[in-house]
Amino acid sequence: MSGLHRLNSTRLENGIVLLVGVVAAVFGLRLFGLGSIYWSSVLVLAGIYVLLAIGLNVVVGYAGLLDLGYAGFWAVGAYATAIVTGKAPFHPFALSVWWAIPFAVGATVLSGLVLGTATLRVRGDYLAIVTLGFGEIVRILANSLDKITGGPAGVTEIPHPRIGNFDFGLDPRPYVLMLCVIIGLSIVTISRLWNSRIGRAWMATKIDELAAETVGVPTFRMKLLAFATGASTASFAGVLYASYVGYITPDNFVILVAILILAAVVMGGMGHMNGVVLGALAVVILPEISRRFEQERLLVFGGVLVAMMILRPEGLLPLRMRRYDLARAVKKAAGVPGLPEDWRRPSVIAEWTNPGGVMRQPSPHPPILECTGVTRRFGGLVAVDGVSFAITEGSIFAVIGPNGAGKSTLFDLITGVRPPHSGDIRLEGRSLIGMAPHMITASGIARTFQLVRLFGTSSVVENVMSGLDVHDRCSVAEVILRTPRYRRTEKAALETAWELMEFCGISRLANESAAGLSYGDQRRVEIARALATRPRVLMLDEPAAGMNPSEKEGLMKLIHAIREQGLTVVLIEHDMTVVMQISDEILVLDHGIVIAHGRPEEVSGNPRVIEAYLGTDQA
Amino acid sequence: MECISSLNAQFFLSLFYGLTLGAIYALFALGYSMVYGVLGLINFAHSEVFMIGTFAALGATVLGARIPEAMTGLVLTVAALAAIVASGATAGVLELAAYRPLRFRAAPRHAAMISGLGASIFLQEVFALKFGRNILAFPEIWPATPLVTVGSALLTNKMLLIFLATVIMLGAVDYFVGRTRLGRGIRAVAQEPKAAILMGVDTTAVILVTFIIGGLCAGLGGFLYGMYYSQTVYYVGFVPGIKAFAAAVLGGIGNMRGAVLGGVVLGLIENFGVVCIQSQFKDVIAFSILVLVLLFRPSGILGERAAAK
Repeated sequence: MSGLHRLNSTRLENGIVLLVGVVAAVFGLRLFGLGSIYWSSVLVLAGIYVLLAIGLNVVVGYAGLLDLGYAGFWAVGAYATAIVTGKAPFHPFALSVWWAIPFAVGATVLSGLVLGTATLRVRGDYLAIVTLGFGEIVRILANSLDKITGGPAGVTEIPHPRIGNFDFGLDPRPYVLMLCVIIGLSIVTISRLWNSRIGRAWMATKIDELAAETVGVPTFRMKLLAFATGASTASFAGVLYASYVGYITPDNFVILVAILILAAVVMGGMGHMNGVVLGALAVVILPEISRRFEQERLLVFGGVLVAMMILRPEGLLPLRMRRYDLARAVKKAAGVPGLPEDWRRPSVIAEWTNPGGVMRQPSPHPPILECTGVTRRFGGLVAVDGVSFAITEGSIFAVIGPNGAGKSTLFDLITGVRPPHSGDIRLEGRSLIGMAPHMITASGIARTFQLVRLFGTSSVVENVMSGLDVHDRCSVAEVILRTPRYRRTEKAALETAWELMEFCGISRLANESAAGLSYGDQRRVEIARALATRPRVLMLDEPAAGMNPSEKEGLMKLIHAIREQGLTVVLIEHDMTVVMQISDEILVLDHGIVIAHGRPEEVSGNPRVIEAYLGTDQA
Repeated sequence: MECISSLNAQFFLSLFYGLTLGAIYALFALGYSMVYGVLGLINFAHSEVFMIGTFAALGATVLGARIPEAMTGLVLTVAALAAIVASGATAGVLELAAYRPLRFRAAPRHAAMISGLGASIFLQEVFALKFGRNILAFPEIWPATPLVTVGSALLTNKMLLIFLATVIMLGAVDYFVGRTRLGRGIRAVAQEPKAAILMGVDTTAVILVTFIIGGLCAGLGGFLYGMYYSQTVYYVGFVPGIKAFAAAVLGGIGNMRGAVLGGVVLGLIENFGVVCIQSQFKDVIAFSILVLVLLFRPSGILGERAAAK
């Protein structure tokens, strides 16, 4: 199987494929005389819901986007089938059902991308209502555009699939088989996406979008990818449904269908593949078992949604933390594991700072990072006011100042979290103005936050790997096909992550959940994650805050070690002992203005600095 | 263009329809906006609060249809009060059953939305199972009669009632939120929930009251909607709900006056827009406005007062 490194869930997901296959074979194919045509037809519907739920799970469970218009994609797939097979009032050509598949996938992915581009920039909680509107619009259009869709009467006589002389007809059993194949392929594809850098990026986006951007995840593109993946899965459901039933009307795709699919995903456990499959089966099969239940099923599912959210908001089978098999990485990585204090160990960092083992000569002429006249206002308050400075490569540069001096805002401006109102910021002479945070990260600036922002429900190693993925060049297709290049990249990522964790002294915590660590360890994980993006400049926002003296001692060692690898370190710090000991240069801000700039001994004697910190007698 | 000339001819007609519908949207939107203001979440079940208002009004009118015609005014008043009370109570129960338990458990953000959605479906189905899935007509106890003719447009008694009732209700809410102790609590929680707790504001009570006030307004909206269209059905809240939410966002969500303004503006845009577009696409207008506002001016016309997430 795949070279890496998964201890859970992949095998279970494979198991489910098998299970779906066996169950479907028994009922759908009436092997051993079991089952009936009636149950086979229920199974077709169940299969369609399973497919829809698997697709919606990518959007809701993996990427964390509450999409209530998902039935709209299903409708697009079904109507595309009607049009391509020449049965809709609008039909430029009449082809077989097989031809409908690429058209339906194309149409739904296109509508997913259009909807996504228009709506994925809005705040998360608005997305639900906008997608709700989308589902309704699709239905209104299907109802109103008589000349294309046949209006409220719908489209009839959509042909069944044929293979050679064999017509699938109305017998549900061939459809069950076809569904099993498609569901199996979908599970494998989606599972491979999830268990790769794409899954890590989705996870990061879902947990903390801002932190995800700053470790180099293009969050908007990842959300679009989730939308497109979900939409294409729905299109298969649309083709199958239209060609099996042979008759579609706008009423097949009402909002309540979207709610049922959502209920399946939520009940099963958002993100958990097996849970989602079971949830979808429950949504379809329970009403068949009890006729009384059929009348009241929406009532029940409505109540279940409320109860689930109160009692078990992550679903019956919640998403589990991914663990990685680190034994290989340890074996491969140089040195003996378990010596976290050994900073001198040859490190991977050297590979990208000093390629070929030659120490890069810090060039004295162009500064690595340069700000000129950078200004940012919040309403009437000028938080950063015309700040200019330049940082020499390979130095440790501290930004200090009283609370509210604009230090963290300055960090936000440099890392693209907020745009400056005026001024220029250059990394090695290239302006960063207008770049999204993930692009700035990719071009060589990494940061940590004043209040640690880890991906709390992920493991430590996964946090670090999410930073490495910014330089992963494998395409989505390579991820799905698990090409040799992809496997090499993933293996190398794990090894590098291990070395970085060793370097930062957290490798013993690799498979722990990040949220459960001590404060000092969380800081180290955040630094390792930032280092993983291969920065030229590492920006640390109050790294020593809340640390005890021995942790501070370790932190200073770590910062020195990072600088020795050739990186430039910029830090905000309140602890003056730390600042005075490690900084090469200090910039002092007060009320957004630079009041002093120089070597530690110059700054500490500066009367304006003393005044800013201690006030004056005249006050 | 043909559209411009018909716009000219139908100006007052569109104006009256727009204001009528806008008033109902405004009442409806207030609940979305106020709840968003204090909790920062969309109350998905608010459309069912409105729906229950229409059903309460229907119930009262059906009973009142046997009373002699001279008492019509009384019947209308009772129906309005029934709708207001029923919706207010529903909104309060929603907060207690579907939202408060989640807050006490510090559930993740998506949980509140899904819970609200579940409550919405649940309430819809209760009414669908009890009263059937067909559209129910109101008994015609108070026929629409024209009062004034402006150009080709008629201003009817129903329209006048809608304008007056809306103005009175909004005035009362404005007074309550602006001048009373509880109202100050609502504003405090909307601006800074943590500071409000520290200042001794009973946020739990404030949130409940906010839900109830939103419910009272939606209830009046439901009554007026029922009076005007003389019909209701279990899903009656869905489409007006999306529009009322669009109105709240258009005005600036969390901002109460913004919600009212957004409602009126949306009502007008829809009714003037429909002169130029086929009427079945009317619902598409509100949705497009919602998306455009969210993309280009997410803080709405008057600016949002929502607590940051």
